[in-house]
Amino acid sequence: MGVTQPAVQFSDQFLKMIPSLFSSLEMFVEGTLAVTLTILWVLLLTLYLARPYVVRTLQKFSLRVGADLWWLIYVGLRDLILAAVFVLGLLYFLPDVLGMLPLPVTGPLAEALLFAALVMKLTRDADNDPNAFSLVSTLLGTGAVLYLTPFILAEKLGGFAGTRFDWLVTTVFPISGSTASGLALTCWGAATLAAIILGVVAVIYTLRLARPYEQES
Amino acid sequence: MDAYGKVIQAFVEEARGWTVLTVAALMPTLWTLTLMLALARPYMLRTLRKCTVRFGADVWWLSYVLMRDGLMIVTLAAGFIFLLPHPAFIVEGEELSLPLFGPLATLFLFWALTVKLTEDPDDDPAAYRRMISLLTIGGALYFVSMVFGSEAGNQDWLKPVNEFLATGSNPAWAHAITTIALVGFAATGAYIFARVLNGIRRGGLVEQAGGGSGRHAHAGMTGH
Repeated sequence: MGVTQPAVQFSDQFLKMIPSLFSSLEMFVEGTLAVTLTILWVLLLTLYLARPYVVRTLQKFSLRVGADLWWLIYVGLRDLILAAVFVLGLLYFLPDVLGMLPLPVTGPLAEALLFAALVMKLTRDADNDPNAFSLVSTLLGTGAVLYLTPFILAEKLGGFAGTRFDWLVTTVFPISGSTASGLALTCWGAATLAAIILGVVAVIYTLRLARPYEQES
Repeated sequence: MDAYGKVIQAFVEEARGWTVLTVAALMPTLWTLTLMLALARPYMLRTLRKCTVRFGADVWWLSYVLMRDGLMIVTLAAGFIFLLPHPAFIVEGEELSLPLFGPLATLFLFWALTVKLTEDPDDDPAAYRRMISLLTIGGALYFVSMVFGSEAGNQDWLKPVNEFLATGSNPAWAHAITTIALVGFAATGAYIFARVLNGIRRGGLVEQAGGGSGRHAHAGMTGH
């Protein structure tokens, strides 16, 4: 009997801990994704800005197969990272996640700029048109700044509350009726609206190109 | 059941709910990639035309088609989780909050795949438009009910919207939508089955597969 009683007490306590264990696990996964995104943003910018080097190397190939493969691997890798950053960054469109974790407050805006860069790549030839390339690079650069600045200033340097940069974190100063801050929800609203508009533009553009008897450009 | 049994049971039930929610959390990723790759066709064609040898062009096109179609199938397979009866109550005594229109989104994806199976969206612009339209409707249904419903439960200012759009707080609609989607799946599955069998009976396996036109997969709308 002396052994059973503590076991019952332990199991009752453990039963209460189980839900918080799984919600902590969820927070851990989402927090890890947010940190991984900083690395991926840097990698994406690096690959985008490496274009002159890649083109210079391309011109050194004496076989056309080698040149084609070199270019396709570069484009494939660059676009894969671009897609990965966009897809992992989708967590910034979820209001509950913004209220649950101390994330960069301008994360949703960075995600919207990335979406704009994707739509720009779809509608214009950013690999041949210098203006389009500049625009895409500017969108990506601004997105990276918007993502990395609050992350470094507020999360890594300043802690989560009580510093002059704490307003850059999504969970500080939550508005009533929400777990996320007013600034975070404003950024979320603007980014969601932009994403809806950009999505509609992408769909209409693709559907218009697929009109019968019309060639894609 | 002894005390340790109760702990194990509670742990397993919580883990079940967590697994379902994790698959549901992966769905936005899969839906986004599916939509991105389907809509990226003009960009892929533009890059394809820059290839100077056919080997590179074929590698690029095949990689694109393989990823695009593979992702559509994986998204459909993962989307079946929304078609399980009563997904909102998988954890005893605790409601799971999933996107209300998840089952309908999966049904639209199934219809888009049906268009790919029964027509040739890579060569027929009208079929391509139909497929993209179905995919877009499915994606919109999924994302609206996820962003404003199941993933906004802690936002009181969105309460009327998120209570309607999440299965846990709207079980009546959730069950009705799941039933409609199940019936739609069964009907579409039966249609595909009958069509494939009829095609094989009429024309044999080669004609059913398109008479080998797949060799010129990117010769129609692609102009390659």
